[in-house]
Amino acid sequence: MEEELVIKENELEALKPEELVELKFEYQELAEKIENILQNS
Amino acid sequence: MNKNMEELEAIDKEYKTYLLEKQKLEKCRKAVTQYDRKIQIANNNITIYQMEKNNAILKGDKAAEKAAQNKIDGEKKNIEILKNSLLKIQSIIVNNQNKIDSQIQKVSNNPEVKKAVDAAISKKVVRKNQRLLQENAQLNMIKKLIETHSGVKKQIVGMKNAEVNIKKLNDDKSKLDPAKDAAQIAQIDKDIKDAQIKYDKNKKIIMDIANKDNLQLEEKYLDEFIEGNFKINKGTGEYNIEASLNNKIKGNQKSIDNNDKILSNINGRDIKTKLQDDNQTMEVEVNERSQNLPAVAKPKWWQFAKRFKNWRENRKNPKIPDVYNKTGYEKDITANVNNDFKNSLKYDIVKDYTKQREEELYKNIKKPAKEQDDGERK
Repeated sequence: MEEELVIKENELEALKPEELVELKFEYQELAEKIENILQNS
Repeated sequence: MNKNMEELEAIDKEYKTYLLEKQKLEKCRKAVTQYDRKIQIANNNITIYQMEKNNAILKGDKAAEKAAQNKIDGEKKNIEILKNSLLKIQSIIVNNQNKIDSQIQKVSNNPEVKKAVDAAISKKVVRKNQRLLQENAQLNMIKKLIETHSGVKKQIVGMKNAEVNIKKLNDDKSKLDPAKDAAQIAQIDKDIKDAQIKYDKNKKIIMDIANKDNLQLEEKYLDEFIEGNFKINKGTGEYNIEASLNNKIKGNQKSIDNNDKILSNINGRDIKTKLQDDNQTMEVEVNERSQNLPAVAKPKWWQFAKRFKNWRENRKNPKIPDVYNKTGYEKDITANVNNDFKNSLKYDIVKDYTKQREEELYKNIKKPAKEQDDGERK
């Protein structure tokens, strides 16, 4: 399951800059959520 | 392959990659939500078993005390396993973030693209900071209510217990078979309804107190706080509301500070986001900076659909140079257009677009019929 979550090498090349920015922020939100969960556990 | 088809293939490739990346992100999100949910349920179980243990101690029942302690230890082990799984997801997310950052860095070698990327990041960061500052202002109101009204903490615990109970009940319900377990499902539905009543009752008490104190607390922020992960006191096994609030506020502030650093780097001077007026000034500034830059819009499904529509329109209306024999050339164009149409059907963007158009048309056909039906009933 974990394998299918990983972004592969060169996979992002087809994306436009604004799509990359969108993804960057969505992942950032998730990373912050995990940090909060781990901090409280 | 002609130029038209090359263009469509490029749009389709980008569309497929975008969908693939979105799917990966959604899978990560789903995994995080599931682990969060399981940890919250385990934490809630600890608070229940701790109460059982306390009752056993009061009664002097050593066997019951030991049984409760064993259950607490079991849940603690369970939480450690869940935390390890979450750490694995965290490392994947960090890895993915690095790859995205490195690709952003790569495309930003072009100064025009860099300007567009900076403008997109600035807008996102300003909006996010505004949202986080607003959330912290609301969390501070909850903090103030806890400090000034001793009963509010109890209401928050009541809301949290009810909320986790609803999660647990929904999990139990999802494992049942409606054909075989109808009675059990009916009981669970009743329990969910009761837990929701308990949740709403506690929330109303808190909102009433906030109103009396002239605090502009919004229900949605209270709901979001309750839905989040709460810290448990190691010794007593009870929810630590203050620490949970402080951790959330600190986490938000850390994000705000990081975002300010990003903004400062882009603008080449120190920027500190503040709520209200100062932030509005900054938004204006960012918008001014973006005025002469390439348009950066949200990459959504309709943008791909729009690009496909443009491609289709261009394909239908090719510019015909006067030098050609008009009749013969038009014939060739028509043949190409028909071939292009046939060939285009293999692309995902075309399949999805066609499917969506069909659904829209179906909805439009159904809509007047429904309205007519409603009219007849009246």
